[in-house]
Amino acid sequence: MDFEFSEEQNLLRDAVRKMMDRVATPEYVRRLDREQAYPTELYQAWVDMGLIGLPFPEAYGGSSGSVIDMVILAEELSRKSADFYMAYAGSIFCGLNVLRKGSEEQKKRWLGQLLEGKIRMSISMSEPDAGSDVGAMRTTARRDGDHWVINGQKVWATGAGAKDNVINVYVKTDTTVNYRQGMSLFLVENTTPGLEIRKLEMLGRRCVGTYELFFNDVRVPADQLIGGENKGWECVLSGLQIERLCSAAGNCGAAQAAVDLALEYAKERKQFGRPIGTNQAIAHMLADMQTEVDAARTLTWRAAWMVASGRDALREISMAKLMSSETYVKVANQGMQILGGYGYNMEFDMQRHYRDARSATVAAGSSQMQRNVIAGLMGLKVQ
Amino acid sequence: MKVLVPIKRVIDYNVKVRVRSDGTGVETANVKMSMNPFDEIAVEEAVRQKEAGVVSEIVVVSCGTTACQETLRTALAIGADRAILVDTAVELQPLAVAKLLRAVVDREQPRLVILGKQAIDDDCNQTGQMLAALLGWPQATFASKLVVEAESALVTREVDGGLETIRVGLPAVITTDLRLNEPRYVTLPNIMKAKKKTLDPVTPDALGVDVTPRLKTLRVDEPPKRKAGAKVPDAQTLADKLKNEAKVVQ
Repeated sequence: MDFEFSEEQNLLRDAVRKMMDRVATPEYVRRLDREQAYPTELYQAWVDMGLIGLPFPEAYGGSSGSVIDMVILAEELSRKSADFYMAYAGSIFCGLNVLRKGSEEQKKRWLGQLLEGKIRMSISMSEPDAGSDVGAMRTTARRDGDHWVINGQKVWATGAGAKDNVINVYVKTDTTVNYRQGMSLFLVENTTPGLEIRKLEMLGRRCVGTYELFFNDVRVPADQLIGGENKGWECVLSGLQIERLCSAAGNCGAAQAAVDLALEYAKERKQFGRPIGTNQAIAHMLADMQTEVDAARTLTWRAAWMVASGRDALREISMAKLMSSETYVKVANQGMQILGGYGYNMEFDMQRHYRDARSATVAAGSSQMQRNVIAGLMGLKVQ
Repeated sequence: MKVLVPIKRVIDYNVKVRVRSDGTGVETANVKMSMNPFDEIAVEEAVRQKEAGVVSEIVVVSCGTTACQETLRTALAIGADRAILVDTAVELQPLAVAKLLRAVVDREQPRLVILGKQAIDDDCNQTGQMLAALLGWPQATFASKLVVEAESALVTREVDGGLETIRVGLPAVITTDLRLNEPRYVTLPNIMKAKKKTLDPVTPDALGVDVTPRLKTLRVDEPPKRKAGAKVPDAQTLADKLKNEAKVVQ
């Protein structure tokens, strides 16, 4: 057994934490959440620090970071805000799809701009009637000369409206077959004519934002089809594991931040002449909260280690995603109780965790879908 | 021009330091360690001088256990060119460190040594001055601005009355104050590059330096707990107390 991080990984964590402390101050996070504004300055700091390039090969300007490096980063970025991390995750995971499935020409064109911060990327898959049931998707693209023409509607597209964003959208290119054989991935600049974008009013994660998209005869050049016609599902599958793993790591970081906040408060807040943390009722809550976060983190690190050493880790990743998201919701909820009136007040940070956490068990594969996967791998035929 | 930047590994400034229960020192087990902030400013300054074309090579050196390698890697990631670890488990005091650094200076022949004015753990504020004395070099302490020229350096220092600017001939020892610069955060490509840079270990014996401690720590105590204050009913009572009890007003 070996739980050590390498010298470089410790250095990476330190450097990222330092940068985040400097740029994503509590005032910054609160202001952006209040104004529902995109973290433009922070994203630029990530670009300047080379973080967008972390998992990409040096040939494209990246640093060839490992999956464990990505997990470290997910944790550290999410400590400040699970919402902000979505901006990072969108760019990275869409970029990785281009890296794995794109042509040499496409990689040069898109990855260069992405790593230099000239563009961002976000994913769009869900539709009003197609959530976990991807096959119910109705948005289509049909070939017209050198272009594809997209029509339909998408929802829950995180970060779609950000400046210079390129939406990585999955649509059906063959409606006569199963979606696994009839779906394709297109890169669509969010300023493309015919595309209408609306920011949706959501409970949490309000900065990077959740959008609905309307495609009305949106014409996309054919060279913006990634991975080939009807090969979209392969693109989805190629990234799914690492995306869920990083989502789990992000949840761990955010959950830890909620615990830290509650702990700090319990040490300082005095009632009846002593800190409330000296009451067993509160102390035990905090002990449980930290234990659960550590359990989620250990599951996540194990899964990361398995992926890094080339093993199949679908079961472990699903467990990590399930446990970490449920834990974030749980500790944020308990944090609200510990902070009392201050937790419920919009000027303090616990309510943000409470709101942001709530999406963790739904996005990137709901808890129910994770349980289906785990049960399936246990030999149960779940209907 | 070659610059030597000595750096120290200390308890991270965010950590709440606790005294060991046996009173022999402070708790360092399982405590986050990082580069002394003043030394980080020194590394940053050297890198800025290199970026400005004044400095050609930056060598960082740290004296202590092998754990200091991590601190040296940080300096390499900020932009130093290579590192030297003076590897010893002996508890080092300022004079011993100054002697080790003099030996390293003899080997490396830098034109400039830039280091933190003090370390945030023992707050000695001695190493830079002792090193300058041992070398017979000029020293410019508490620099808040540094302009390096071919044969001399202009150093601005924050003194009680305002800013003092002095010129020292090179080679010289310069110690950094807080406002000299704001260190950058290291970039990912530079962390990766730092992996490939040279880090040479050397022992005090090889440098011919006796590092035996000269000072003996008798006991380390927690600072006294703050006593509860008292409320006074009016200004007159306050004035009386200040005059007669605290004796801070005549």
